[in-house]
Amino acid sequence: MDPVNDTNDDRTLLAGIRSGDDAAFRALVERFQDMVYNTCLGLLQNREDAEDTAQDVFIKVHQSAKGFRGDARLSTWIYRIAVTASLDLLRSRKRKKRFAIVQSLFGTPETEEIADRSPFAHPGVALENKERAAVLFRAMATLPEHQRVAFTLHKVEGLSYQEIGEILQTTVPAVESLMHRAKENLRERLADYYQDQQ
Amino acid sequence: MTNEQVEKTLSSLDGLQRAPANPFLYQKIRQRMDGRRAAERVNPALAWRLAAACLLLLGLNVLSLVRYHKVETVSSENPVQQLYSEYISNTSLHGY
Repeated sequence: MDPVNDTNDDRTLLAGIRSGDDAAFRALVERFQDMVYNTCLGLLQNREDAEDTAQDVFIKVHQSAKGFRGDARLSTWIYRIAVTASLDLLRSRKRKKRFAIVQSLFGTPETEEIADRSPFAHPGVALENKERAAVLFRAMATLPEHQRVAFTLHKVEGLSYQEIGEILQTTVPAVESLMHRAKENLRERLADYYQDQQ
Repeated sequence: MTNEQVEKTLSSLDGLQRAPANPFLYQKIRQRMDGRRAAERVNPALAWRLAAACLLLLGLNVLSLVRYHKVETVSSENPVQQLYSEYISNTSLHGY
């Protein structure tokens, strides 16, 4: 997958959005919607959540267009917003889950929203890899945030370490370190999983 | 054997195709944005009605305060009035 490259068109789009041009905003959405949706889907592992969050991302882009200084590429900026929005939702779900555990101690039943989710099947995975990919996604969900983001952007969006570094506003060696630790953690968890299966 | 499984699983996302977004995503975004704008906009008719209700309430409160003050003033005069009335009536009874 090729990352979206900024061109003069992107600057024109931004200028249009700033001046309230709906056609410019629509063009931006259509240009970046797959990128945003796929990023959210990889992190959230749920289609409804990914779609809701993708909408939030574009609304945020629309609201923040005036404040965007152009110190990063447009695609980088939008990736950043998508990652932040996805992580915010994950944190919010974690908080609700903790509260539900406390509630359950006092005999209050859990709500449907915090019920266990079924394994995630990414629609872009090759048929022969579907089962393994579902196991991998489940393992990715247990990674620390930064490792999870780096691994997802690399494996799901196909971004280079350089591009990931720009999105996370860190260096390439730092991304290399995140990826190394992510893979080590995943190997450990997958090894436990497969040993339990035997 | 486990290591082989692990490495195969780690590679299972190789060649992953990007998932396409909902083709109606823009329309959904627009609906959400328009909905938020409508909620933020103040209904002028409602604003006038609220203002009128507040004024009415204020007016009623002022009226109540004024009446209360008058009643208090009249009540405080009563003992003197009463004494005078009694004096007058005593005078007329005894022929002074």
